[in-house]
Amino acid sequence: MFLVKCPWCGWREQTEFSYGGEAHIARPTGTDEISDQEWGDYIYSRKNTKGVHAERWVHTQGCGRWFNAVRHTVTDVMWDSYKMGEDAPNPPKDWDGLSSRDELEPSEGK
Amino acid sequence: MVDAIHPGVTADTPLTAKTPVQIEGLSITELPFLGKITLRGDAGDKGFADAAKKVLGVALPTAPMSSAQKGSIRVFWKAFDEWLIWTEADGQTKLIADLRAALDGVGKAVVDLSDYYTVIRVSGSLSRDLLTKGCALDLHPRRFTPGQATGTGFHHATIFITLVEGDTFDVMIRWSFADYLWDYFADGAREWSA
Ligand SMILES: [Zn+2]
Repeated sequence: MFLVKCPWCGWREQTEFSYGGEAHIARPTGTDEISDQEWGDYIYSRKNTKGVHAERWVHTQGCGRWFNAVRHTVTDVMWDSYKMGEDAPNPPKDWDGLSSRDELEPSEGK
Repeated sequence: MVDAIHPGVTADTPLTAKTPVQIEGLSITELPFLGKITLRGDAGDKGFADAAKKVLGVALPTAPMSSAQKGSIRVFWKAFDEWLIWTEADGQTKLIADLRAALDGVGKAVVDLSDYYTVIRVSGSLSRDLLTKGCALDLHPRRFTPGQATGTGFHHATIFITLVEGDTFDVMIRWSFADYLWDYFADGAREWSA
């Protein structure tokens, strides 16, 4: 179990949330024309990242809203979260995946 | 029971048969039949915000986890476009009608949740000790202050909790989970029973 940061409600126990898989996967346009391969990639193909991963979460027991977050898939430490439509906040290149942005940059918010 | 409101008719909640817990430092009682309403809309839309304020007597709170109160009406921030409103028992019918009338032509949702949830009041110097047995939220008085409110979990149950004042908490629970939560509270209180 780990902590998840809701962009509105702040850091909470992971059990308050549900996971929604990899973020920023756009639904293809021209759906009448695309191939089965392209449909298959859209629906099934995911990165299976080891390390920094942008993903979707929903604050099921709290505000009930969907958002995106950047998590280290090895340490399960969440770097930060961000609202739908915003750009992913990238951790530093040398991020060890052990501390969140709020721990490293406390002035950035709570 | 609300036989005074509907003469000759009595009503039960899932907790009607429960015995309130009253021990040194801890009181657990039900606040049955509070009116409960979900209001959704765009707080940035002046037409929506002004009309809601006129009916509720208080501006919609826009900070996460905050709330506002006017008389028996309590308005909780639930999400950036959603508020939970509590009012006195059976007061929801008029309030819903007033909200719908005032918000006519404005994008909104007004939904009656009164019989979907009930509310348990937990108070006393041991209230935090009891609640932290199943709730991971930081309830320290410095971190969770009067008027703050949020949805969270209590063991397997999804709850909505607010600190009324001091060490008095109100916990809203789904009708179907009320029995579970009450028994968990009552069982958790046994270590302090004489
Ligand atoms: Zn939230």
